[in-house]
Amino acid sequence: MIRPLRTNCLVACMTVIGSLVLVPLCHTSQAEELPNEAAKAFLNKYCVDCHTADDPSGEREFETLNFSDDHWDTQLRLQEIVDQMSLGAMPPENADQPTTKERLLAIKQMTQTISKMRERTISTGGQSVLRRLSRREYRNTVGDLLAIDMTMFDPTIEFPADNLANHFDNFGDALVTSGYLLEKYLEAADRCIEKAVAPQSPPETNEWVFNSGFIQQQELSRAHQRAFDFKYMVLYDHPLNEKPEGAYGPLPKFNSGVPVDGIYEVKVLAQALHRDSPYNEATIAIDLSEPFRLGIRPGDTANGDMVHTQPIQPLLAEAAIKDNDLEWYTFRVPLDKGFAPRFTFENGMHDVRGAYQRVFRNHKDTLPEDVRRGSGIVEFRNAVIKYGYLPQIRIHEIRLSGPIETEWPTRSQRLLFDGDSFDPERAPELLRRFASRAYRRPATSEEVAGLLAIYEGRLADGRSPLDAFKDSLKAAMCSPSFLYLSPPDDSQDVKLSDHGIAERLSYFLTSTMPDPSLRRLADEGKLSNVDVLRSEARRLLNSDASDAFVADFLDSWLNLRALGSMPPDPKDSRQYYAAGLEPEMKQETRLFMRDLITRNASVLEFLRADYSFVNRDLAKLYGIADQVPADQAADFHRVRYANAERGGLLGHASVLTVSANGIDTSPVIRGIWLMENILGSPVPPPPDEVPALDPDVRGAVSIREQLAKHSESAACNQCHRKFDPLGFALEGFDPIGRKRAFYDAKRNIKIDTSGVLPGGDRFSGPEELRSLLLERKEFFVRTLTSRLLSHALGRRIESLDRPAVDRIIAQVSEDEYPLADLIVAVVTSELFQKR
Amino acid sequence: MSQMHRRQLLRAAGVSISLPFFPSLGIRSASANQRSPADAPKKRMVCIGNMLGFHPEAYWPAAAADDSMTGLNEYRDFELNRTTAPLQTVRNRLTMIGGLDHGTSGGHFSIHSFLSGVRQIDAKSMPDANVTIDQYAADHVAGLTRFSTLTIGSESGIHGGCQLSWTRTGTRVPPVPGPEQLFKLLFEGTSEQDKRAVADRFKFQGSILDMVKGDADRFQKQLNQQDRDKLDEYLTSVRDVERRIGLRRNWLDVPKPDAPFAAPKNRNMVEDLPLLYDLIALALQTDSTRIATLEIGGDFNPRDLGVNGDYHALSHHGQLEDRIEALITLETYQIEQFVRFIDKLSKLEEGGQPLIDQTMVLFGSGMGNANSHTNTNLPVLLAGGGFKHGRMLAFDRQSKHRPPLTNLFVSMLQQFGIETDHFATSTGTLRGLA
Repeated sequence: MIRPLRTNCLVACMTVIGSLVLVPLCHTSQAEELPNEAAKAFLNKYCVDCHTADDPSGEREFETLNFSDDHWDTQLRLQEIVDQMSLGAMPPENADQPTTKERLLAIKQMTQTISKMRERTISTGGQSVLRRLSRREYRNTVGDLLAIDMTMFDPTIEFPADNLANHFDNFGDALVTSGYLLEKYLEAADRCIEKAVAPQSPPETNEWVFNSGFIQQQELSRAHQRAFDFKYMVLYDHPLNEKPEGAYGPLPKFNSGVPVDGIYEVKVLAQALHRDSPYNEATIAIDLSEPFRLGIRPGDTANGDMVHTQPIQPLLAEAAIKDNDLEWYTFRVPLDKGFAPRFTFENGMHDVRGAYQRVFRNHKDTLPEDVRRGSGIVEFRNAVIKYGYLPQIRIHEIRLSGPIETEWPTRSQRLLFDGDSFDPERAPELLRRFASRAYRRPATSEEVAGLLAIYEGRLADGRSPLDAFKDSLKAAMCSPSFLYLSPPDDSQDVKLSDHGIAERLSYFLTSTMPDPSLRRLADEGKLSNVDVLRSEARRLLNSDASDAFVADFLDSWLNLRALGSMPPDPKDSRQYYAAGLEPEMKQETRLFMRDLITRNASVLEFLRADYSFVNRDLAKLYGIADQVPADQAADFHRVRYANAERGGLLGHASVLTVSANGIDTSPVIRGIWLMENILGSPVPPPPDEVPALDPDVRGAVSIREQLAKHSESAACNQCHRKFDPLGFALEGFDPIGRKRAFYDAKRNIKIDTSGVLPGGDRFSGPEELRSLLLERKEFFVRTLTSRLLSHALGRRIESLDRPAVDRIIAQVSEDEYPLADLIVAVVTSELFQKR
Repeated sequence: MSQMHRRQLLRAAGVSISLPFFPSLGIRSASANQRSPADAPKKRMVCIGNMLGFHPEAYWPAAAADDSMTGLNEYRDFELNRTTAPLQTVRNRLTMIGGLDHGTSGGHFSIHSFLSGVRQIDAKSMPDANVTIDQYAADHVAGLTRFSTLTIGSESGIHGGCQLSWTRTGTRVPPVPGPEQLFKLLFEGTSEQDKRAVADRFKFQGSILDMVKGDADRFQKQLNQQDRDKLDEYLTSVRDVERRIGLRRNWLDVPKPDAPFAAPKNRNMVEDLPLLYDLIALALQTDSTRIATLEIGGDFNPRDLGVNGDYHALSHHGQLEDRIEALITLETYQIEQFVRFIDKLSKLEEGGQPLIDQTMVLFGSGMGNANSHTNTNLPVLLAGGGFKHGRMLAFDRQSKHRPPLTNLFVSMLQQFGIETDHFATSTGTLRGLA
């Protein structure tokens, strides 16, 4: 039975080892045993009387409990004892009772022992375990290996999700391979190679014109026919609606999509209507101050119907549409074979289905008299679409042409054939070339011989030389040499080869295979030279390729990947959906980190910055809409906060959302989040039997009062005093990061953001907490450094890595830890070159 | 009149088929120690969902007083209501489950999440997207039967029909549209050319696996012990896939079973419903699949039952009595056909055991009350599959400890032989079921 994550539980009662804001982390070395004398004495004095093997009434026996045995069984038994004692459930009432001091000391020793055991059982001995490409790495790698556009091609879509370890998706020991996954590898290789080698003849350019018969989704048909006989495509809802209606405009009779991959030109004759709508905002749920934005998102009937959300639908292009005046807008978008462009109203209405009724309720007088008596959604819809003033983007004509700017042969073909077409004479050489790229090191003769055997076998099976060649490329993509990162050359070696270093560097800073110049340096054997390595790290960090690093690292470090797994209540947080805030929240944090790298600024800005990067949606969320002009709503702008309440990472909506549970905030969850990700102190789980607090926002009880109550228990308070205060500081932000002063809508329960850290330091709110955190900046810097190392090495950073981590930090401590320098120091550290 | 009409239909469609049981393929797992689905006793699963639920007042047994502290009451002597009265003859083969749902809203859109517990809009944030229980189970038995799963239904109806089956990629499994196509799949042979293409593909995949084993072996010398354990994982996967390919290849040479009757034509969902159930029973009986899903969707036209009105419109009865009566007629018909299916599975045998005991059948809807568009208190019946039956589990809807419906899916998956302790939003197995 896997123990469920208890993030909803507001009570945690275990001591945190060597943690805490006030006490320096004291890591014991691996060999050192913890004293357990008090715990053992406690068990002997209070427990063993009943819990013996020959007394069934005790149900468990502790006589054989061995504190120096790491076995899971020991850990579980100890955990159970701690839980029972924390709850005060044991020893039972009728037995001798220990003093509070005895109880706390025993709990403390046992929890320290458990943490130590846990660390030892998951330790990989300070080495990375042979690791396969993660799902995202696989996807990026095939894109580069085969030179194919991955905008709407995802061969990994059927791969099972990778296991996460401490939010990281790239730890070798956690990434598993199963028969199911291997079957998906076989299928993915097939899809990738077929895509890379197609088409077989130069693609012809076509033009398609659509200017009538714009039949959209079934629900709209009656109304659109009556109102304008399908002469226009009309878009109402934004694309992330729960029940989208008029959110995706499909091209009439173009369901099979474009015939060939390529760049297509899309010309749209469109107008924005009713930005001056007389309806109030509650009725139509849209911000009329912004120009309406038309988007293009691809759709494929194989992935679902064209008028609803599909699993692959990146925003390919976007433009602000002029009010009333009809105008042509021209876009150039990539489209894969089978995909058709779909048109969207990116900042459209939220829930037009509800709006029909609300128009009737709130603005009946704007409708002609003979339809005012209508009832039911169908009549409401028909009337409002025909006679109403719904904000909309209206498209009159669409011209699609392409593919334009075709390369023939394609880049992929030239890359794989090393020429314009496949020459069977050169098969062995071409296979060696491909394998040496795919395996990120020179392929061995045995490997090439294996691929050639496939090639010849397929020829013997009657396949054409080109088909046989394709099949052998597919085989290479299923080899462990492609799927796993290269270990050192010999089992006795600890140091990586040059190719191993190149691979580690590229997956760290670009999330994909080495680019040609990095590869060349590896081939020349120059990467063992620290100066070369350093300059390569700088080069990659300064290039756009490292955007993938910023995004993936933040996902893993701050758990931003989980953004969206706890979606807020659509009623309270319409904005969240209407604006599509999730990707924008992530983008803010990414731009923030990117900026630190570019300026080589101090990592302490993560804590203290009084600026950030927001678009208009986020600016509205933060209450600073005046800083982002409405006509540049989609762009991110650097803004400065006048009020110091919001600042640094702790003011980012991404962090505030991911550390809440979507529906309400909890100081416990946010506190623990801060402990783990900012201060680097893991918090052990609470006892199983403690019920979660039920947030109650109706009456007079605030969460602070509820927490205060159970903190009266000394055992609970032992931990809670360490993280509750951190969370309280952020209570002034709601579950999606908006400021708030009261918990309830009636403004009865005021929010108190003050707190006391375990050492006695007081703070009144987030600003003062940030100052206190800055006074203890080593904790943050060490956490960040360890996380960077984890991301680079694909493993946990353990206590035995501590000296190496400290050496890295020492290199950058003089200038307040500049971020780019810190990342480079990670790359040039001794750990980076080791297995 | 409508009664009469219905009886005629049943006679016409109620073909009784008895087939010799399909011989077991007798394939052993590659490694004797590795327990694989191929060796395990056969488990089957059928999920049936309708589009608009059941009129609650005519469906649920009269409520008894809630006298439990646990939020769960178990009844054995409950009185069935009007729509559910036909269940009487098979009541010892099923469990009626009340008070559960997925905690989602969205009216008709939530029908799509009946078997997943996850709305399509939330799919992106779930590790396995909005994968449904049937497709999840299908991954586990892939290769053991000719079809790892069969989904039957139609695209028509409000918001694209029932849309019951979704893969872990968040895409919908397109349904087999009617008995005509289902019959073809089950009984009509594959062309020699297609067979050759598939056989060629299997052969190719086999040679890839041979090659990568060689690559992996040469890898060994670079690895320390913990790396080797990792590589073993890869090698085990290779053997697993080899076994699956072997199973699939065998299916190619195994002829499809003989058709028990002439190929049918599609008529309409009302008339076809008994025939679809018969074909599903045949598919299970011939081990052509272990998993089937049936969508009873918006193409279920009341007129074919001699009732005036549109199915969706009737479901919004607005408490008008004649509309409710019409609705009850439709719903009773659906229950009757379900009963007939359960009855049929009870009479078919495999290995001296009634097929129903190896086949868990889930029947219900993602709609709790179509008139008010709510998705709470979903109608759910669980039949067969070796569960304890003949009772009603009534969960207290007010209870804080009320489990999500996905807990039932965890219990079903475990019974199916899958070692999992979670599915989508589940918090464990379903209390009271075991």
